[in-house]
Amino acid sequence: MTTTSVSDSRSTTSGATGLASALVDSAAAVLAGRREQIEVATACVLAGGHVLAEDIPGVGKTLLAQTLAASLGGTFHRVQGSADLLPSDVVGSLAPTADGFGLHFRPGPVFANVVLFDELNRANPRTQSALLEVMEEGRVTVDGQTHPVPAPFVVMATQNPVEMAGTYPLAEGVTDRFMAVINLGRASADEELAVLTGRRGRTQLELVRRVATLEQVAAVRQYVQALHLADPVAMYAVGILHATRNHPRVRLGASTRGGVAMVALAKAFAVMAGRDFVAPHDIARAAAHSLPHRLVLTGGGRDALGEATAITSECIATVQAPRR
Amino acid sequence: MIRPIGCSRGAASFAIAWLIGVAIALLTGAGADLILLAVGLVAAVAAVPAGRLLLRRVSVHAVSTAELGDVGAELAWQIRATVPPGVHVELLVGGAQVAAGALVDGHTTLPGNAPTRGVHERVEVRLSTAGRMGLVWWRRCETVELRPLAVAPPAAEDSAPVARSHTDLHEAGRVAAHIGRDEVDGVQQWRDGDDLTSVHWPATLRSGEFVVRQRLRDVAEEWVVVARTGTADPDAEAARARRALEDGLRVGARVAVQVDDGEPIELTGPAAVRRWAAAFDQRPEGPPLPWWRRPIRFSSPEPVTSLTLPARWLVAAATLAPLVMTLSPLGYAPAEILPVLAAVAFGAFMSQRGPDHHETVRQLVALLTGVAVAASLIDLSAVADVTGALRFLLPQLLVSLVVVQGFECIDRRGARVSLACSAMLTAYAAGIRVDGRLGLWVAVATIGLAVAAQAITHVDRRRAAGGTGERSTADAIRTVATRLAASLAAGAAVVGVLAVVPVPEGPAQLTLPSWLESRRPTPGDGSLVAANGSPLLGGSLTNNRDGSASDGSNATGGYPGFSPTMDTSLRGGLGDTIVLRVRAPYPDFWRGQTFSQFDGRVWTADADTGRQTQGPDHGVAPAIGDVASGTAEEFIQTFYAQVDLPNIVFAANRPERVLLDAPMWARPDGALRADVVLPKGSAYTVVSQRSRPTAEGLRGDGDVRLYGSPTPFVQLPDSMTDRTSELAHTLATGQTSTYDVILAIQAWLGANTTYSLDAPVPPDGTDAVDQFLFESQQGFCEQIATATAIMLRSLGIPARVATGYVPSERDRVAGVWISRASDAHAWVEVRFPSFGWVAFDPTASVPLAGEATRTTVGGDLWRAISGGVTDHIYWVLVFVLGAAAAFATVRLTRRWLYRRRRGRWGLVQDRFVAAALRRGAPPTAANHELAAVFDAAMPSAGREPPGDKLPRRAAELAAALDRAAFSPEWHDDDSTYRATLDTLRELEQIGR
Repeated sequence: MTTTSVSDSRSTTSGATGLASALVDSAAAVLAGRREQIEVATACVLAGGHVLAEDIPGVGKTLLAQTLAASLGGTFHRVQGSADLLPSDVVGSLAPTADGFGLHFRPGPVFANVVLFDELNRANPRTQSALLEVMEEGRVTVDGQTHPVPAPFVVMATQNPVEMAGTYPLAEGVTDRFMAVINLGRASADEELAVLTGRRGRTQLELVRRVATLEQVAAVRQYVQALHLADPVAMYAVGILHATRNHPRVRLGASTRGGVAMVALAKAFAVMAGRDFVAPHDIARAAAHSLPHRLVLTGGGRDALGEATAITSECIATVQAPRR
Repeated sequence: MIRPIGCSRGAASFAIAWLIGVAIALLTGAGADLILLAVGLVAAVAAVPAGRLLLRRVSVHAVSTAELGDVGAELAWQIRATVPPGVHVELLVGGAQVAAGALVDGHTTLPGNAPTRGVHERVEVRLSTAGRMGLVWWRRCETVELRPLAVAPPAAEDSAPVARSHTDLHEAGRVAAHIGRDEVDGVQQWRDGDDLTSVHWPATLRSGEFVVRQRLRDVAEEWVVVARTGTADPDAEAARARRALEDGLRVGARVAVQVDDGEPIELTGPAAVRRWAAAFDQRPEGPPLPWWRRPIRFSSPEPVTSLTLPARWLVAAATLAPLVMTLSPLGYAPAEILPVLAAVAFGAFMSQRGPDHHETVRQLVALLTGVAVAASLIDLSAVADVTGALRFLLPQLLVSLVVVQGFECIDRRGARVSLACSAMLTAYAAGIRVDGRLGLWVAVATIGLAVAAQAITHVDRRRAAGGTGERSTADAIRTVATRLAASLAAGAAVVGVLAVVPVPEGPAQLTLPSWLESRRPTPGDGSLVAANGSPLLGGSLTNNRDGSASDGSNATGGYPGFSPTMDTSLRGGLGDTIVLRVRAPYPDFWRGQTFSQFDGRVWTADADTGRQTQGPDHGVAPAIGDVASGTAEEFIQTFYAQVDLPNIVFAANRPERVLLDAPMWARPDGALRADVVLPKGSAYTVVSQRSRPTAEGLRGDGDVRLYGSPTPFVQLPDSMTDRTSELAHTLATGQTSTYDVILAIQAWLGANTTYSLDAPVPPDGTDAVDQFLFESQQGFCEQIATATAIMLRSLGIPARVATGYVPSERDRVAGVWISRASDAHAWVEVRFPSFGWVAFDPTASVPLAGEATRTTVGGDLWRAISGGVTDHIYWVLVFVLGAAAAFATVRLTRRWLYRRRRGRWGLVQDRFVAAALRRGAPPTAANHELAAVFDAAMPSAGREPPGDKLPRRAAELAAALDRAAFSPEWHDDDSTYRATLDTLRELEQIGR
């Protein structure tokens, strides 16, 4: 396979770190500010996960996804969530062949390296579930035939937490599939100035050059996955999971899948920081991004995700970090 | 406010044990009992404020829980507090307990319940603790603000009245005009009840499942639920309203609630419904009931009743020392004591599984074991009379009680009762034991009881997260110093309490009034019999005139005073064997014999054996010369024979009642003789009427010759020389009272003769008194006493010589007077009309009875301790230094092991954590965050930073530590270590 030969040159810490920082830098050149969010999104890409961006419209969610796709050099598709969007509209369907006697598989928009699913909560649950299957399995099964989606495969979904009318709120099982939730937030005055004057923003998108081949990304993903995780650090992750389950204001704590996502994200963070092992603060940072959307709180507040983020930090603070 | 709320279960048993200890102490007068009581008192006094002191160190920072709950549902509560170990917390909302449990430092999460319906904004935090002793409980109440907690009633079965209405949204203008009627808004999966006409066929064909159009509903259903305030049961009203509202939500209606006749309030979802139901028609709480109307609860404040396994076995271990120290002086061999200890262990084993484990079986086994232990200990054939019953039943029954109670140690109360029983046993043993190891036994038993009592109150000593891994040496020294100071203060308090407690009068109706190890009868004629059963004859010892009469086989036979005749020129080498231990409040002459006939060399006792009584309670009539003095006091002594003694019954003058389990003769000369010899281990009790002569009182009697002088007591030997008489008359000249005459004679003897055990034997045919006074001028007690008596007799003053033992020292702990074989003594008795026979002795250190001062137990204990320390100052120093060295060695070894375990990077980590914590880093943070606190470490403006880019170097240090800890590729390298160490030093400096 071609990936093997590439991975030989890439599967070192410095190679992986270089690729990661190139990805981050090219996104940062387009997107004003938001370095932390860019890093989390990049880490999700490297960790083989999917990102949920939860924010109001117009803060650059789409732009971030496009930039990542461009720097990865992969294909980019975009799906707009709406109530009558059907699973076949997303994953693809069987269409009559040209001769009119057979059916052939017509791939849907998920057959791309980076898929931006805008306003996921506007799609009906059925479509959401269909998407989840692709996200989890990395392949589409239609009419008994399996069609793998291209690798790397990253879904970046957005949802608008304010406009809730006519939406299908994401169930726990849905949000659990996303590795991390990012909250882009509003840009600062300086950053807005840069966007308005054209120094940053969509105008810069066409200047983005691909920084890696898809094979290189796949190799880095393998490297990230195999990164060393010491037992005390893993225990730290388990401790944080337990803390979320025991917190009085949490009805349903983080799942084991949440823990897997947290560790994967932490590994990506470690690689991005140029380390060949996972440090405790990688875990803490990953937990802050990968756990809040998985918590089901007792009672219901207006800003559930914000509250869950606060509770997650509280939980992290109660667990003793491992040290030398 | 901190107030006491009561005692732990079983604490009363300690109080009862203490009172029984008081009774034992009063009846036995044992010093050890008083020490035990004082220790108990000090412990009780220390236990009272312990909880209060602990509670003052607690601070509760916050209490949090969910914001929404249902009545009766489970709810977790989290408390953040700074708290020492051993504090129990109760959370109350609206007067009802919602959660309870042990509070640990930092975050504590307690499972609990939701309180009553309503919106609650504060929670009452009740902290209670009893400190380490775990006996007296204190409570502190605080009210803490809570994020408003809405507690809704569960939905009722029946629902509140509902007004349903339908609104056409199009007409109401709630739907934008450009949207057509029933426009498709989306699709959804088929659900039961969907109309076939609404199937979205294209989607259905594509997906292979039924998909229906979901239409924007033009017609909205609205439910207005009516709730009434002011009903008898607002909770039920809220529950019914909730039921109706939730039904409405379930069918997709918009729901609103109308309270009484007010405007309907729309509720947007289940959470809003619950919030509304919680807040609906909340009635203000009435004022709290006055205290006299509150229900009285008779419950123990101790929240936990279970006993931990180590505590259970510690309690069992604490009973061992009392059992052994009780059984061993009663003559039980180790082979007989071992089954008892095995029974105790068996009881611990049976009861360790808690209260619910085979209760009936356990009680049955306990009963059987108790009966078996009692049967093995009690020899019913030996119980012949009352004293036998006391001797043979009471301690054995106590031991059986302790064994049986061991099976009942299933909770803390049982364990405390068991310890109280052991304490009683200890007090009993301290009352009957008089040996020198009593102090050691009491100390071991007391420490065991104290340790077990503390272990019963199990304290969770989990430490807060964070901090460095090892306690610093300074901390350890501080801990040791605190404990040492506390022990010293407790010791000082014990001595201080005892300092005001006089040595009680004793002994002993309770313990061992009389006890004979074995019965070796005498010929039964009242004659003197040696300890080995052979008759004691006056001349039997005269063959050994060289002064080494005793061959050592018979420690007392060597003393010539204990025979019908006493040759004044003889004294054996008597040795240092302890002969008698006497429990009595004062020292006195323990008189065995009196002599009134003197032939110039040999005193002869009266041949009249007097009246025999059968006992065991012998009344003794006054002998010749005794007077019933109005000032006399009762003086009780118990004599414990430490070696085989002849059948002489020693007693302080004047015996009135003797408790001796054998027939006894009360001789007219005042001496007492038993029908049996008194073997080692025997005990008997004498109640004496002690006239209390003082110097003034004796002087007040003036010249005793005026009251007449009975012939036997002024008899003079034929061999008496004139110069003896002249000397007596010379010394008496000018003295106004007999007492002064005696003092003058004693003063002359003191000035002109020397005390010597090696006095020359007077030549045959000479008068022994003359020889002593004018020739050798050397003599021992017999000669001094004889010379005094003869000089007094020559003046016409009635006098005689008595022999017996004097107490030479006191066992301060057991509270007994010790007489050794060498304390065998002879002294003069002079008859005074007001006081009867009064003993005089210039050589013994026994004061006049009326002038003897009672010491206090505390004084005795203090003298024993200080005497022990000064006597063994080198050993004490060696011990103190050894303890310090052991402490240092343990510390250093542990430190060395710690350093070896941690490695040099581990130590760097410790120092780094300590430096970061000093700067206020969160204790649980990872190295990366710890390094972040040094970002703010840049000195304020105007000063150069202490190092270039220190924050960056701090981050590098943290990274290096993480690498050392978690990286698989890491290898130790000296240059990195040195660089890291340099950075660390700088960080530590700015941390200061």
